[in-house]
Amino acid sequence: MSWHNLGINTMERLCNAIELSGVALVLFMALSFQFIFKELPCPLCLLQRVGFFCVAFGFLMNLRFGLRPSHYAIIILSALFTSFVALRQIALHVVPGTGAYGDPIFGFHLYTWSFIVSMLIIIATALMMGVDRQYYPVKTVNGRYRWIVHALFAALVILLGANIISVYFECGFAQCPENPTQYIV
Amino acid sequence: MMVLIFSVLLLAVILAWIGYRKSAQYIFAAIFVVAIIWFNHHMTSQLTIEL
Repeated sequence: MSWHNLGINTMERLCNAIELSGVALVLFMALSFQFIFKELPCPLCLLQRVGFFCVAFGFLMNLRFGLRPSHYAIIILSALFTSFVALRQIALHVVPGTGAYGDPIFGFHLYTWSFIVSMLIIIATALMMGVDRQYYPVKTVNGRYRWIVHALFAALVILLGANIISVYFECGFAQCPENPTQYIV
Repeated sequence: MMVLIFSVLLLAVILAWIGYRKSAQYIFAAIFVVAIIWFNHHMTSQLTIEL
């Protein structure tokens, strides 16, 4: 049996697709806020976006090549990275009087939301990877959700492309400014 | 630098999409390490913090 037929389980795949859609929504909202509120992302904000894209990459691998612990490891490590970067940014502004970066959304700043979301991803992924039945070999591959996988891949590629263009206009090929106020290119 | 990181991530996603699992994973691992190094560089150099 080829690797492609291992661990194909509709319910768990659907959970992965839903989680991936959530991460894509987070990335879309980050990009939207950048243009709606005219808030340019700082270097740590961009690194958090990288972390979320890495999380999305793990989910995409699960959906494309079957559910495997190695793919879940990618998700958890990436979410840990994102949480460290977010925690670093929270620590920068946690002392009263040190200010904050950007406006709060529903009471929290975006980097605090980023930390909360990455913690939720770690918990959800740890719970999901504990379901043993998803790793059992199965004989048939359910192709019903194939179009969803392609749509999610396309969405992530578009989001990554938009981020590349946005970062190029913000920083060029140089190091991004600490407190960006305008596009440099 | 961030342009490079995002571009290589895009390459990894496209490789995974067209079915090159191993290549996508190796490229992802490389850029993930670069992102961690960049974060460390940002903390120690840009923010002038010593660990």
